[in-house]
Amino acid sequence: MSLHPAYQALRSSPRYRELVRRRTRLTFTLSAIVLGLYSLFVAAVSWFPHVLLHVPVGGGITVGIWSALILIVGSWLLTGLYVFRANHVFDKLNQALLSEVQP
Amino acid sequence: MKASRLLLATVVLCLSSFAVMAQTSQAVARQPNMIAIAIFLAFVMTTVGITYWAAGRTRSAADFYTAGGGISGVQNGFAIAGDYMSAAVLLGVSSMVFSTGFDGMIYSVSAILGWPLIMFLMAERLRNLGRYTLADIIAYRLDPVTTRLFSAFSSFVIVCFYLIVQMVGAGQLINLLFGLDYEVAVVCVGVLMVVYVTFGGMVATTWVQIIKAVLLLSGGILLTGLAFQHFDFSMERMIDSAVATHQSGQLILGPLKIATDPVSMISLSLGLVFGIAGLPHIMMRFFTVPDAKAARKSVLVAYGLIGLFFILVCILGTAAISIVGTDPSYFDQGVIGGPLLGGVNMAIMHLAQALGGDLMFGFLAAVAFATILAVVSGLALAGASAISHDLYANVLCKGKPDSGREMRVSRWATVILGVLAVALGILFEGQNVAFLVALAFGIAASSNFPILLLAMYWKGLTSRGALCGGLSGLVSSLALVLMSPGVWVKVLHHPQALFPYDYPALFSMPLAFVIAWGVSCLDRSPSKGTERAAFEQQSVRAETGWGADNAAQH
Repeated sequence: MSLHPAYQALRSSPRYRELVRRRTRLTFTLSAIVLGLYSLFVAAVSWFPHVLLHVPVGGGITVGIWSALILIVGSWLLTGLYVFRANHVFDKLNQALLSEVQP
Repeated sequence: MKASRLLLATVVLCLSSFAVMAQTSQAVARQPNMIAIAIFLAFVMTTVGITYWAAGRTRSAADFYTAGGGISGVQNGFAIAGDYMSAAVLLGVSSMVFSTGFDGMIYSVSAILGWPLIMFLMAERLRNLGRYTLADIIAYRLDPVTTRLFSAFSSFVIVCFYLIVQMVGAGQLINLLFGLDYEVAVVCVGVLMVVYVTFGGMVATTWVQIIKAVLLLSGGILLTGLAFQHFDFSMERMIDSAVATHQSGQLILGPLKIATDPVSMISLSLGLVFGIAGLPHIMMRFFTVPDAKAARKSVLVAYGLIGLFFILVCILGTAAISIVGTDPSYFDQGVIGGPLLGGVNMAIMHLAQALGGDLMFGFLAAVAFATILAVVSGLALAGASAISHDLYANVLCKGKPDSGREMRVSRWATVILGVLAVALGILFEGQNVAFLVALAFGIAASSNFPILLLAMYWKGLTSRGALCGGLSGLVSSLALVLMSPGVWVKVLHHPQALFPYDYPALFSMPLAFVIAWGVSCLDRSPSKGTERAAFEQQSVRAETGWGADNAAQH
């Protein structure tokens, strides 16, 4: 099976390489941050549960509850960041790339 | 015309049987709550009305499977949230917080952190590559018959296990809340599910999900407001009184029972985090939006709503510890610390009764029933698509089916699934089915997810590799759950479990990856070269969306 000429054209475009490189870098960084923080949380739950019992700033909320809330809200903000970057950077790049093969 | 008349007849039959049974079943503990019945009937009438409207718009297979791709990003976000926020979460997670405190929060974090990963790694690619089902992506460049057979089978197994959980939960819940017989309740759920899906397809299912998501979230927000009012809007007071009244005291602020050992904890979290990305009824929703941009928006909206919902449920569970946990009238025979009336999962329902009286209880009961209906509809649609689109249209008809006949197959598949769900629901009556959730997530994380991920990201994956890897994940997760304490000891009553952990993912998921990788590397079949070459085209389409099915055009 040979490549469709339009796919070939897209693939060899410098814009395509730029798009893939920049998007891959962002998505892998963000995934690594989310998975890394979650692994820390799981490690704390599994091996250092006493750390989670401290109340750092008053208000009755423990380190455990804080970290769960920060994980949930923080990873949602990261998805928001990704959507923002995708809408403003990647989509424009993609449009420019697609216009190369669609007259 | 014929279809709509049949629809009306079925619904009238169902509603009248509902009304009759509500009157005749006297032998239950609880008086039927009239508010719950009224709100639930209003929900059923609205959704059946929508189904009637949607039936006129469901003409082609694309309409049936994916609403023609015409759902907007925000609508789809609400519908995904509706799919994921099941009654099992509402009742199960709140009761987990009620009985073991922080454990429920650990579970919540694990159960939703798959969403950002879906956003970063999968959502746009799914939209760009897929058409109707998960199998479309796996079979994009691999052998269209064997990989599709595998993916359809594995999706079907996941759907069936999930359906059993929902049906058994529905029967128990409705029995308790509305005073209906278990069997009648299960049949009612089955009939309504078949009505929504066969007549309204994805359009009706989507709107059922959206309405239910809005109802569930508003119920949760309202109840949380009442709970905070009870504690003078002080989080500290709520937590302090929970610690003061719970029998485990200060210990509920840390992990109590969920992480008895690190292996269980890691296995549970792997299954939950990566399982979402293999659930066919959730992934299918990404094909209902017109493009990758809308797919991104769906995840952002869905994850926001789901995160909010899990936080609310955790707060409500905490409030229930001191409000429900100190009131003898919510316990069996009035013994505080004994079993809760109606079972441990009823903590949040009792909280609604305590804070908002019959009105709040009735509202939450109706919402819980609506939730079950919406989730089983999504499952039925995913199961029916695996049969009609994957097995019938692509394997039997080699991808060239007669469109009208494919529609008929999908409708009959839904009816058969409905009958199967009712039969399984009745068969499993009274069984502890909690392990089936772990099983569904374990299989999803060990069979669908690894193959899906490799098919999208690894050039070297071959058909044989995908098949062997996926099957080994499926079989090993099934076998490990069967030998786990949850099934081998608690269900089959053997003295000693053959496998010491309840969650299989830590072992079965890496196994699937390793076998898929090993077999692909050793594969010397002639198709290997073309499959590798086709990966280039696939990745261009996945990255740019060029050539993707743009369903919004029609």
